[in-house]
Amino acid sequence: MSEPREQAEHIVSPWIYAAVYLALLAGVAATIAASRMNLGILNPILALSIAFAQAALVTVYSMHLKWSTKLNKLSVGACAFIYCFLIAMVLLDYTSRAWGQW
Amino acid sequence: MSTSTIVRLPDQSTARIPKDNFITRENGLLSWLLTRDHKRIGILYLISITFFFFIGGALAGLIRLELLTPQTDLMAVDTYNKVFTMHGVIMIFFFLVPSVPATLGNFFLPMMIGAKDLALPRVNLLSWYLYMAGGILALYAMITGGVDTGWTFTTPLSTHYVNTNVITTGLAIFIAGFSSIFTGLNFIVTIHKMRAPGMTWFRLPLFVWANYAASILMVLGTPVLAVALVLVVLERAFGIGVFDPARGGDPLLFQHLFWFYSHPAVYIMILPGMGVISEVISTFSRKRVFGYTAVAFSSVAIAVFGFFVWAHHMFIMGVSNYAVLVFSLLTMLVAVPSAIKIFNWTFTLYKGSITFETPILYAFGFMGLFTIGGMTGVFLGTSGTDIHLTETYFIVAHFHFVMVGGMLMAFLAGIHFWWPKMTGRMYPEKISQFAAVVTFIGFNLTFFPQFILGTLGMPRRYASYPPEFQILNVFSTAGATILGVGYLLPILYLTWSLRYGAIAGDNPWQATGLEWQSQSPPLTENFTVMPVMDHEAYDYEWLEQQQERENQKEVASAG
Amino acid sequence: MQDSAVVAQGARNAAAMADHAHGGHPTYLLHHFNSVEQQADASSFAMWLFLLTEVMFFGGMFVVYLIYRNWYYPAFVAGSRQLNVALGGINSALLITSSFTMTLAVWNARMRRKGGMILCLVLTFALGAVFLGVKGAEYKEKFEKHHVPGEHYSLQSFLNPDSDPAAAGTRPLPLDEARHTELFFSLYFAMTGMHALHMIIGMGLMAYILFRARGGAYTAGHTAFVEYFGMYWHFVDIVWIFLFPLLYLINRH
Repeated sequence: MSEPREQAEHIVSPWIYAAVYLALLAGVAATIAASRMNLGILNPILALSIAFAQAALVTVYSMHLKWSTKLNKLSVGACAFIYCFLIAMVLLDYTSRAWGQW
Repeated sequence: MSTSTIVRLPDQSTARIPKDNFITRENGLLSWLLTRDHKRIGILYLISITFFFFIGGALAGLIRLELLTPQTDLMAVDTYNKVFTMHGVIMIFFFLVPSVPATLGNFFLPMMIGAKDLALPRVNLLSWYLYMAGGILALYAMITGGVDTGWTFTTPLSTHYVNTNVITTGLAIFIAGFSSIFTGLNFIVTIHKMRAPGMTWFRLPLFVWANYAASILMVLGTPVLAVALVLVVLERAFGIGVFDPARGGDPLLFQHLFWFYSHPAVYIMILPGMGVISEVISTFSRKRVFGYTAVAFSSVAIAVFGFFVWAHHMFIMGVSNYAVLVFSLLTMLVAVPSAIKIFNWTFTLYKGSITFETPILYAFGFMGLFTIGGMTGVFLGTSGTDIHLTETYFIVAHFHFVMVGGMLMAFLAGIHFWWPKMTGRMYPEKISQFAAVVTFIGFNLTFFPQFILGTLGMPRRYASYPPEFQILNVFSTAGATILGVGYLLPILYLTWSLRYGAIAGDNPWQATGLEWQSQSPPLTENFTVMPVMDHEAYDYEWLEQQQERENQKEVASAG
Repeated sequence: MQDSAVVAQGARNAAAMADHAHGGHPTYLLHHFNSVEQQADASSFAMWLFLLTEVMFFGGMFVVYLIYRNWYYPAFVAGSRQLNVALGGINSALLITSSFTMTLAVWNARMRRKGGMILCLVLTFALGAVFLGVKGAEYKEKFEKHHVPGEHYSLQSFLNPDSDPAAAGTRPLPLDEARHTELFFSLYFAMTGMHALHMIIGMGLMAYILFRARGGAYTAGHTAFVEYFGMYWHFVDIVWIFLFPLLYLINRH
């Protein structure tokens, strides 16, 4: 190992970045458009779904998680799980209170 | 007590501390303050943690002094509130959370896995500076008026009804929290990525598993505490109203965020101690830990389940009955892995060759006292009994049994166990055994009466109490005095040993583990040759064979 | 890894260590690591872990938002209406574009193209600066309309919507609901403020990178710092991706 080595990961093509970029912009436009329509309970669900999809694109492609180690992917998953647990249990409390404004 | 011992010291007339070690490699204050050596950083932490421990201990002494009499005669009620608040803040955030990970973990984790340092040495140093900054800020808050909300900063008391240094203390804890996060982050990366060849996960010492589990909690839990404190600071500073009922806020939301960290925090505090106990019990019964896999997985299980139970601190605070039910059930689950450890340690001792040096005396103390503390935790996790016992001295006794009777004893066990490796010198055995026994007696006298006080109904955080509780409080204070002696003695004799202690040699306990294969004190780079792990953890047969090989080499070179 | 593979890797690493003794390793290999791969692996994992702590940190604030949005929906709707969707949308586009230019900067770094990398970093910086400028303008407007929580908070826009062009045509809120709009703005300032703080830190780091880059620092094969900064910048982008619909678009129909 006497000469400097390239990093083990391969180089991601700028076209992938461009595709993600356009998808993100489309997502923002879609979110704004959808917010103008009255979809009842579906409004926040749709908005959050688009946001999660955008976040997933950024995480997987822009942040190179797709080409990263299994450990990194597992760690992101573990954090997501713990965070979901926090939300779920807090909601459990708030939605089951007999008093209050839920 | 038998006089047999496993200690084997080198011939004292010829033995010397190795000239080149991590302490002598570089000189000067800056070489310590700007070091990247994990061992030096561990020593820096050891000194600062001891400092904060004695401040927290002094505050405890003031509490017990006040509680000698039923009236508030020693200090004003507001002052008393400040004293127990700072006692809690300092002991939890500036002693217990960093105690084993930042001192023994920093020092020995890389050595145990066969690495030259942690993955991020500069981040490690940053951790210490953040700890010191937080600590100094907390002391500043204490000196300039203190905080009187209790270490739990319950809203809306902390946001609206006190005029004390909540913001400063909150920021101090916030900064110290980042110290903890970076330490945990460092440990996780190191354990995953820097193990020596042959060091598979299931050959790791259980101390490493325990610190790994604690590190997961540090990394994922502490940021939520950070945001809870930030919101309290913002509320106090700008009146934003997030936890203010008058503006539509819910004070309980703070508690959800606060306890989401603070319950895992207790496992952050105890898991590394349990790691120490695994090492000590194995070494002093000359047996591999019974059920290695179970102990390893139970550490991770404690970490995972520890995230699921936080609202058991909020049973009486206004959470829904349904949430109480669910969290109570989950709390029963979290007791199981801890119990598994106790069983495994007991079976390690069974049919082992047990000797009674100081580390294992502390370990025995741990096992008994942690068991009691843990079982009383089950009483508290059961929501029906919790309604009566919460916010009484029963809780105080419970957490002191697990934290002081458990964690602090484990810390002392670890300090004594690894002292010869860190300093090259043995501590004096007789006085240290005496100190361990004094500590055990003092502890029980201090905190057992508090269980009774709690069931009788004495509330916590009160400076005065009904006169019929006085006798138990007097016992408790008497015990605290004895406990203080028990904690003072190690400071004295350990310092003494630095100059006058016997030269320890590489492996006075004849322990397994890579750290014992190096010199005492270790070299800066830990190892001269990269170790290759070719045997299981706690492999005493391998150790015997290795010692025979060394003897034969000596004979060959002498002849 | 199987034990035999681990031992074999250890032999290779030991050989590398021997190589090191003759100086045969890249200058950026830190001495406590055995190989460049190990260093890269460890550093990348560490960066992900750090970002996960940031997720939990911001996540806590989102939990607070979740509860209060559901408790005080009409107030949150009214508050959200006070925010300018056009400016918010522009900011989203700006930040997403800056994310794109950041990915290109990393690509240029990997391709060892110093000029390209510096250009993309400067663009990222500029876009970030415009974002902060727009944010500043929004904050200023909130300040002028007395929608900053605290002593000077004014309920006029909500009790009397026709007095405010941004709220004209909406129904007036009863007093207690109107007071809950303050909670919305508290969360608005806390969350966007914390986000802006992270952006400012990012801009500072970018300035440092640009300074080092002119000396050829990241285009000689060791791109780690730029890559990890890129991850940080993308994380900041992700936070905004959630903040925008949750704060600006609560009920726009």
